Amino acid sequence: MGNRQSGPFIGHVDGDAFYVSAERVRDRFLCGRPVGVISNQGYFVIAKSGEMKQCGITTGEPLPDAIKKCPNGIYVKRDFQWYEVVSKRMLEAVKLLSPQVEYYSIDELFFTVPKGDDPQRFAEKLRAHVMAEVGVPVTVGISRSRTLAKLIGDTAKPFGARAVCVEAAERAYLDEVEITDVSGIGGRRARRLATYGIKSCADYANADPRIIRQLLTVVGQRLWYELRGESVEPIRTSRPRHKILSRGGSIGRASADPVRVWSFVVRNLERFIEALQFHGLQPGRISLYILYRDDIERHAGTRLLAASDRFDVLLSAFKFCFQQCWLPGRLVARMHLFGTELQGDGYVQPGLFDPPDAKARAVAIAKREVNAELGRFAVRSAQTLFLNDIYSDEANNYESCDIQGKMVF
Amino acid sequence: MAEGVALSTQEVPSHLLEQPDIARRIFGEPGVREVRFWSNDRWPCLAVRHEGRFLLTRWGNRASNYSKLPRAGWVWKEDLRKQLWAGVETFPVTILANAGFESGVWYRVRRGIEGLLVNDERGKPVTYMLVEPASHYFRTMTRSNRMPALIGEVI
Repeated sequence: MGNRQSGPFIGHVDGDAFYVSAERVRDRFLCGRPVGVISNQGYFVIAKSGEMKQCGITTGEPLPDAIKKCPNGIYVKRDFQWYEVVSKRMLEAVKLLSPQVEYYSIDELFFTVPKGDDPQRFAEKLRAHVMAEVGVPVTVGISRSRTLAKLIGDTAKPFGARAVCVEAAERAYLDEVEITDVSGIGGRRARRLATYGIKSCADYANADPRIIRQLLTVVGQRLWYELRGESVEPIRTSRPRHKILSRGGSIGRASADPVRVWSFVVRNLERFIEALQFHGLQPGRISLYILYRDDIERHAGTRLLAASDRFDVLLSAFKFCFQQCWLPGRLVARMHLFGTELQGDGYVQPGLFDPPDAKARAVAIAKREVNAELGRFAVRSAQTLFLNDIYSDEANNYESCDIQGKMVF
Repeated sequence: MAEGVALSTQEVPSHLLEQPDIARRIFGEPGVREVRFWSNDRWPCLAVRHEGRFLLTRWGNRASNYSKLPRAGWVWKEDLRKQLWAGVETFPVTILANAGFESGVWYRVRRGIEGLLVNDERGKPVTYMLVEPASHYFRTMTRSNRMPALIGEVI
């Protein structure tokens, strides 16, 4: 392996306080002031500016606690439609300079450094370019693998540009980074690694690969290569087909009302079907996850007679799951609907017992066309009528998961 | 708890910023200074745009010891439709604000707040802030059942 300075090198771009920065692009009043972006229901801080971070506010902090720590902070409602505009502008700006760009998440990109370019100078150039073209501050990290690039970038925040492409220098950085800072290594895996004395990323990179494989399978082994500077995770310029599709999230004010909670299931089902139709997919199996207050979880699934994206078929299946998951008297906090065994690409295996679907198809097409013309959820299931408070706020109709094309949520 | 609004000093005529009663309301570091107007100030006032002009007016009539105008700082917007102000000459104005304050929370105001301007018995302008039932979002943020009638935006 040795020291490889000739490339190819891989970079990571990360928007600094991205939601706040996006708000400041269109609203100069917010510049220089402590700003927090508030969640769907108006209760949690989902993003904060550097000024607000200095007051000790953390992401996910309830607003009543945040205003005590930062009484002069100004709070804005989240607007994912606008954040998508800014995110896509960032993507296009990076594409102007790099031959290969992966749209990883709403505020992160991976890219390859053009052959022959000095990585440090390219990092600084890219940072300045995004600022000039888009108006958001980003941090750029460059190294020999995407995992290293992201970790190097994290050490340079905010508004940093750092390239570390020599093994000895990489290991010096990795020595200071805990293994839990790597995406995919949570508490449980970290505890397993710790029993072998693996606590830092440097420990991980220096470990016996057979132990890594034994503890964390081939996924952990790929990470081992990445931390050693061997790029094994490719830059993906287009999103691969989904293996799982999901919609859901917090229901805002927790509720033990089965009518209201079921309305949320139907609301999320309509969003789920919209996503299925966008990707041309139909699930063969669906499942429902409900999280109650006090961290009680319930999960139920069922296989469909045949893969389908039909509202009536999926509604019936989710109703069955809901009945398995429902706990009377308990407050529901959030839910997720999942679809797996996804079929698509223009052909879906029909089943022997598919119910007639001419009418269902006609209704689905009419609904889609009306909503495309008049706005999302202009036509929706009557079973969502109990959520008029949610639908009356248009900002609730667009969430981060509705931004298409990115690799992760 | 006091309601309030904040207006960037860049939007206030500079000669007014030097007046003691306005200067004492200025808050913030250089570059991000704002004038804060509080409803429970000893001289509550609001900056409004009326017929194209910038005006500083009294905020409601809580503090007056002579006027018979409603003793409040705000008016339900629906009350205008009920003609509870019939017989009084009123003028719709824009209350100039970049941020509003309710129950400890500063929230962004992008285009101003609807206001109702009346002249009191001495011909002095008084502005009432128009309010409406709080949206679910605003109520969750501030725990308030009413919210300012924002111009051209929904929170």
